[in-house]
Amino acid sequence: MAARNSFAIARWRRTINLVLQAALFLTLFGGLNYLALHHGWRWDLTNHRRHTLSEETKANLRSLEQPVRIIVTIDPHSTDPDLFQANRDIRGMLREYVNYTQQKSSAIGPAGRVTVEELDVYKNQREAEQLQIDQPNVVLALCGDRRKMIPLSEFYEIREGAAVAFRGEQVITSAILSVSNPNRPHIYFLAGHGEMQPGDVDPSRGLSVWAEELRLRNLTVSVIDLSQTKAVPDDAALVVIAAPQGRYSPVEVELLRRYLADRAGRVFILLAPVFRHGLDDLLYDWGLVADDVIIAEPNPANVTELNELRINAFAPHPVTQPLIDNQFSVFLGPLTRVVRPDPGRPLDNSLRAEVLAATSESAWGERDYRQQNVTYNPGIDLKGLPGFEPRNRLGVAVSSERVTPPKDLPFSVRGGRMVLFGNADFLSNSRIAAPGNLAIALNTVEWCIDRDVDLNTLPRPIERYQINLSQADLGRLRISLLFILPGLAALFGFVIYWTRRS
Amino acid sequence: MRHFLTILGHEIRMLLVSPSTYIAAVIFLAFMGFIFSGILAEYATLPQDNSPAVSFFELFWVPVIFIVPLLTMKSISEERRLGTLETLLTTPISTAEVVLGKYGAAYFLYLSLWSATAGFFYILHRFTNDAFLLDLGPLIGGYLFIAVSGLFFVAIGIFASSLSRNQAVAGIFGVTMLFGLIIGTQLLAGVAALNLDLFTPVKSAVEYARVFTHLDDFSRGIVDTRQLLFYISGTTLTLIFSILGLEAKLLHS
Repeated sequence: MAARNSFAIARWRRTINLVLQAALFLTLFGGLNYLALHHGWRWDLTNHRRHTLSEETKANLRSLEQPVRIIVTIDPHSTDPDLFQANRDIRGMLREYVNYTQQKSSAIGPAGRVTVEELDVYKNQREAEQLQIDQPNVVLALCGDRRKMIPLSEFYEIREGAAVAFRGEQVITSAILSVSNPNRPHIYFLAGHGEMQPGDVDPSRGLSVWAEELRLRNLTVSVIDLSQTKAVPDDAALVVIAAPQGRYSPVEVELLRRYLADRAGRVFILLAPVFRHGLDDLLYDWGLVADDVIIAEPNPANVTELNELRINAFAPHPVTQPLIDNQFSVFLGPLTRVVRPDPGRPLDNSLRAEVLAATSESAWGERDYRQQNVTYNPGIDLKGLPGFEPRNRLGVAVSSERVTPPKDLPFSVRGGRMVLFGNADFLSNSRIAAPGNLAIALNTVEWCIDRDVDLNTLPRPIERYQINLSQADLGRLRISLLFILPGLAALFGFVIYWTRRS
Repeated sequence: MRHFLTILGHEIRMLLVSPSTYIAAVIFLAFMGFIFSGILAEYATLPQDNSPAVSFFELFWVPVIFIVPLLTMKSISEERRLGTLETLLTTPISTAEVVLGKYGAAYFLYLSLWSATAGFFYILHRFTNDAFLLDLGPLIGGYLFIAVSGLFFVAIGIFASSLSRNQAVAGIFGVTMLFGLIIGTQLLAGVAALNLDLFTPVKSAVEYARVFTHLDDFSRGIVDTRQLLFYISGTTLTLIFSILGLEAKLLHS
């Protein structure tokens, strides 16, 4: 009996020993994997290391001091092949950011980590509302209370309606830098002369929707009256002059001139026709002119039913490139004036004046705009000229930039920037919803405040695979795939069976 | 481990002469050929962003969930049911050698079956004569993933086989565990509650174990030491559990 008991005890002792061994191995492998989570290496075996983050991005991520959350709202199970592919491309790219910062932050905690979350905006409406996401298929970068929403279209370089390159790294790094920077650029809207205001909710004269879009992009929006403040504030990243209905005094113009020249200031001017504005001298200094004409467009293809001027001729520029890529049009209001580089501007190599957007070739600038039925009068009205850029077209948006080479140094320093539009209605609450209008308005601001800086990373070209076979060849291919290999396996099996049958 | 190679050789020989191996191979290759021809039909209709290899390996889980349990369910449970395992262990052969020998043979068959699918790409190349379609990065990455992940999947099948004397039960265990690892982690990663701060460690663990993410990296030509460690350590742990579990069962039988 005692011996039997001792066998049982030995058996249970052995069992406990096995259980303990299992627990120890489990702990060992758990710990090993936990350590590996933060200390892994990744090798990109592709040619030119296509999926590896660039050194520039890595340098930026190393200096990241706050955690950045990236929220992807693209449905990973979408039946739309474009969305499915976009989700795959973006998730793959974001994984590189997460992995890189995960290792970096292991020693110093969560500071500077990039984390990625998926969000279904339909299933998790409350969370989507908290994050102010009102549409799917966007990527949101968040850092503290700073945020940047990236639409899907920004991730791809599109030519002739097809995506030709993936710009994920540029877009994501730029968004991370934008939200992780604690400084919010300050944009001042001028007031005191009947300008359109950022706090105004009026559909035709209010800019509240656009101002909200600017705030969502980590920009601070304020209003100043130069006749009261007597100076452009020190923290002004951009001054917006939106459709003044009266003349600025010479003192105010001088304040703007000093801001532009002495502090490399940035000014975004929107001049509606008809009204006198008093900015002619300032515009002349910057090589621009705003003609007192109204654009007449006889071709109905370039005018909407609401009599809005449809602009779809853009010159390549950081402000207009996304519109060119996405084939967006800009819908200006019915009253638009011609703006253009001043043909008589002072000779100055440091000044670069360009037309950004132009009318169709059929449009002209009507000088006698008070009469009811306007007709083109050669020699009086303005017409696009073949010898001037853009050929045969009239400008509706122009930019001017001063690039100053420092003495004896081989590089240039950017000076002030000015963008001039011959219309302001396109930014009003009732018109800003058009994708082209919002895009050109936001791009202008981003260019003015230097947020458009292209990272030195090349977009990754998208290669497409297709089988070019006739129906008959495709049928033969399918039959070969279905029968050749299984047939060989069956033949081997039969040979083995036949040789061993005896 | 002197007898490991003896058992491995014996098991492989038994597999190669068994008609059931060839039946499994015919079914597997016919099924994979059907899948591949379906994928190619899409490539003939519209240009696709990914190479055919990426689309092919994206469906790796379909054969894995069914083939791995079929290959492994018999290995240990049959020996236990017939009582031959106890006889085998009266010889100077350890439990570890038996388990590893059977595991090695099952893994050999698993790799052989997948290697045969390389013939699909050869056939595709012969028909289209377009080297671009055979993008080597995803092709090598995909097979590397199959080889590395297969270590773990087959080990799970062996573990399932060690849990029961009944082959069918072992097969069901195997399917369930593989489904949990491959599809379960994928479904779990989409649960919104994991975004709460409280569940951050769980979320990290799920993301770490997400097999589809590993496949995506491999097929893009990225090799990550963490993923390699996940599969190798998972394989080792599962095999150790199989050995310990088997010893415990023999102890109480």
